[in-house]
Amino acid sequence: MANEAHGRGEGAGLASNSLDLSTSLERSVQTRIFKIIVIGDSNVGKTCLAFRFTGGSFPAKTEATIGVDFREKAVEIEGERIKVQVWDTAGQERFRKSMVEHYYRNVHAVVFVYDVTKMASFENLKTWIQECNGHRVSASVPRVLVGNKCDLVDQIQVPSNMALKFADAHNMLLFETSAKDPKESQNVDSIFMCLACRLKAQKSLIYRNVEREDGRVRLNQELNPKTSCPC
Amino acid sequence: MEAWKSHVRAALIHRDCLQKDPFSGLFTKMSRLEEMLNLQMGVWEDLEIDRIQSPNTNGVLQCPVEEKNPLKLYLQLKEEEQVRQKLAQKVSDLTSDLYLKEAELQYCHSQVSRYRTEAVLLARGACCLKNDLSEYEYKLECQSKQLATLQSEQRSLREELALVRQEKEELLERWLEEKREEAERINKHNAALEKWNSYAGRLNRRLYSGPRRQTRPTTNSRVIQRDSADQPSTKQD
Repeated sequence: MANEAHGRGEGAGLASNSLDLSTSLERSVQTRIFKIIVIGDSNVGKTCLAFRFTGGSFPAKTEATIGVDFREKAVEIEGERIKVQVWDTAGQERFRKSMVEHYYRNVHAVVFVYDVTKMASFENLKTWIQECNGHRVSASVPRVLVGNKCDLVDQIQVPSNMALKFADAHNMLLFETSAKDPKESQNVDSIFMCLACRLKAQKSLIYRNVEREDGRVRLNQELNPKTSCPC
Repeated sequence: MEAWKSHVRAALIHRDCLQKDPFSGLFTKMSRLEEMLNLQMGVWEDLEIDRIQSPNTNGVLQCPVEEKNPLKLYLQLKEEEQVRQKLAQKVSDLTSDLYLKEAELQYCHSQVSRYRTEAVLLARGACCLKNDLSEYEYKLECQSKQLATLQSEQRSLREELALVRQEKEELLERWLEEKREEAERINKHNAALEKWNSYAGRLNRRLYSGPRRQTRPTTNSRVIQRDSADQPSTKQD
């Protein structure tokens, strides 16, 4: 009896320990970070886009980015708090030398930016994609194409259909927006939110795959996103 | 005659021969003699006409001895008249010359006065120009001094600029290095966080899925240790 009682007591203690552990584990799971890099020619508005998303406003004055600028924004997707870490990279070659490998290391998503009023910046996208591929960025890493400065309607040089063709050819989503125009801020947010949603969905799949690799298919532990994704 | 004198004379004669018309004196004398001859011929013809017009009663010429002196006087008179005419002509020529010269002189005076006025004006102008020149020279001197100062300033500024550029490049390099380190740090942090989340999530799921099989709870530190061994053993489950 005493042993039984002791056994019961041990069992209750184990359960409480297990709960504590589970709580501590849940606590220990920190906010996930999605690293998104923004690349493109100099002066296409990468910094402004990143600033618009993270700061919610258009910077009054910007200088050329040296190396890289890090910005973060915490977002909540399907009840999970996620940090979107935006790497605003330098467009000028002299400011990005020896930094490039850091840009692409463990990158989760890539945003290619071009200026709709400069055809050259659109034409250079090929070079940027080549660079991206040259750094062994997996094909599964989501990529989006962003045409910035849409508010300059009179000066547009890159037609939408041309950009759309390019995006389709490279399996990318196309966004045409303006970091300057406050009406477009929703659109700017949607670029990063869309990527975050895709990444979240991808990650959930990865977890499932990992579990499969362990030899256990747990269909009851469905971590797939719900339908609340904004994109 | 002394030798030197004869030498001078010979040299002078030679010079005369070379420089002057050797026959000018001869022609002058000959023309004067021709004039005298004409005059005497004129006097002779006058006398002949007078004698023809007023012959004496017997048709014989009057005594030449008596008429000798009046003839001579007559000739002299004629010569004097001619000389007087010549002189009058010369006086008249000289007078006209004088008028001409006076006119020329007046013209020259007017020219002189005009030139003088011009000269005065030019002198004033020259004076002004001289003043200006001296002023410009002074200015030039000042400006050359300023230029020298500015050049030295420019030189020092260029040196400073070169230094500042070098500093800027160094700062840029340092900044890039900082950014590189920061990027590396963040990448490492991201990787560590991802790893941690992955393992914690997996552990959590395992904890939920098999609580009955788990005889002893695993501490976080052990999880981490196992994590550091990279793959948790399935046998322990």
